[in-house]
Amino acid sequence: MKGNSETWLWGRALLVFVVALSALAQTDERVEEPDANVESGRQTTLTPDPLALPAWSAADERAFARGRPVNLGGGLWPANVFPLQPVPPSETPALPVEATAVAGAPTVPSPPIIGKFDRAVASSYFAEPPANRVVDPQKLLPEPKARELERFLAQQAREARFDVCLLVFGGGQELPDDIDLDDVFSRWFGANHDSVLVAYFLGEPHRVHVIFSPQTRHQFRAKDLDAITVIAISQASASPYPTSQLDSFLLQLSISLFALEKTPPVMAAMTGMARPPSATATNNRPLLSKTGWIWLAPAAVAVGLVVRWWRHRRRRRLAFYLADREFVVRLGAPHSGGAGAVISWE
Amino acid sequence: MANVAAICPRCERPLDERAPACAACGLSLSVLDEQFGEDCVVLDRVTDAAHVLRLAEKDSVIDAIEHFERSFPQLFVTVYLGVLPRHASLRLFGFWLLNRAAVTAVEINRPNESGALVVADMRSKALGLTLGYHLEALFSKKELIGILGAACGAFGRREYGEGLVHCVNDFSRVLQKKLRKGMMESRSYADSYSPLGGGIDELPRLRQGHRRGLGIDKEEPHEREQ
Repeated sequence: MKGNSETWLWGRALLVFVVALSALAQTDERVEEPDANVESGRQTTLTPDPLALPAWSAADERAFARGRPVNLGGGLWPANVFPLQPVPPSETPALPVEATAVAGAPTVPSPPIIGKFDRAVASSYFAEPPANRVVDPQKLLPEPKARELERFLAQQAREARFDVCLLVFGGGQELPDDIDLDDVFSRWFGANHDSVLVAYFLGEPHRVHVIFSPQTRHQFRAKDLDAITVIAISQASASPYPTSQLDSFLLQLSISLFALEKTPPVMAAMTGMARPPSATATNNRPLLSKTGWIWLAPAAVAVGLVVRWWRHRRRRRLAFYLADREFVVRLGAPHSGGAGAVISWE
Repeated sequence: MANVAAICPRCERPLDERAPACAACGLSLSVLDEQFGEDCVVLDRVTDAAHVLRLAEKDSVIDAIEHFERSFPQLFVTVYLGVLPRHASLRLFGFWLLNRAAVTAVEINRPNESGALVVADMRSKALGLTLGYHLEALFSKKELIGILGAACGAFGRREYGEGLVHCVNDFSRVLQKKLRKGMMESRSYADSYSPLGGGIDELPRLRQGHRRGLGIDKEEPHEREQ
């Protein structure tokens, strides 16, 4: 009976070992076999070195099949490096796949590298006040994307105080030297103090220019307005694709502008975001004016003096008691042994 | 820090405790009684025998002394400004005066050994500070010189009231500082004095000086009222 049991156990162990070996062999074959669906010419983590390849789990395979990022190797690679995703056979294999791209939509072309502006192109941007919120005479954005952004900015203008006008330029393009965006702003939105002019270079969010009205710059601290731009740029930089960067930039800009409008003054000072504007001109002053500081400083000094006086008075009210000690009478003197000092004041 | 206790006020040599007189110079209170008198001297908080204080000055000094008494309910400070005989030692006069004085302005629970006497001689332009037994272990000579030095500037300008206020306030400040630091429980003080065990038996001795000073040491309280 015992011999049968041991034989059965050994048999099971051998079976498990063989199954594991075969699974490993299948996994290696799957990884090493040339993948016809993998897009050529893009950076890949699938190196030909078989020793460096980690094993695929079933969950990884499922995520991979659905086109989701897979953190292959348990953190072996940086988080933003994904294995190449298989391109669906219905789509053009040469186009990059963006998160914002939808099936069937026209693909986004890479931003053209143009260099200096042509005068005619410049006039198409700056000659007349724009009719739309998205100004893209070079057609750098696909038409659906431009319409989507137009709707987004229109919604932003309806729901929030600030109205954003977006100028889209190509990556590598440079504005002509005689174009001053502040002048353009005053020429276009002179009466509208709540407009925000954004000159955005596709694929280069760090080159963006965000122009606020002089009144807005007067109402809010410069570092708060700069923070809005910096946060939007950092959000845009997280995406590798130009249109996704633009989406992220505009979304974060909209959030920050809304916060600029709604954040309470104290929170604005603490978070470095902004102080809230208000409807009336009298409330458009900073939280504490110069006059306020002039009064606040002496008040703080006065409070400090009162506290100091109170502590001094409290200390003066303290009574000190000496411990009772027996003393030895010296020189026949009952109260004092003559301890002391004498000095002359001349 | 060497304190000023157990030093002969005349020859400044160490004294043998319980010795009735200095072994070196023979000084004792009875010797000084022969020089200054044996009778007790009735003092106020500020006794201006030299008549150098203006009324406002005297009031300010009294205010300072009263504040000191509020801060130290067991202690008192008294001031004597006078003109001593020529060749009289201010140090010895202070020693004699603190033993023979009856300070009428202070309560009976503040015996002379808990007192500090500020004495100034207008003739020799000297300022002295004499401490009772309860205070002498707390101060060094350097500290006492510092306290008196705070008053000397004003005394040099003949602003005696201001100088005395400085002196009393500095004395209070130094004493508060010491008490805060727990100097009362320091080893030097404990080595010099053992804890008081006399209890109520100590009271007659404490009151002795005042009664003698007022000349009522043999009278009963009800007789005094009559």
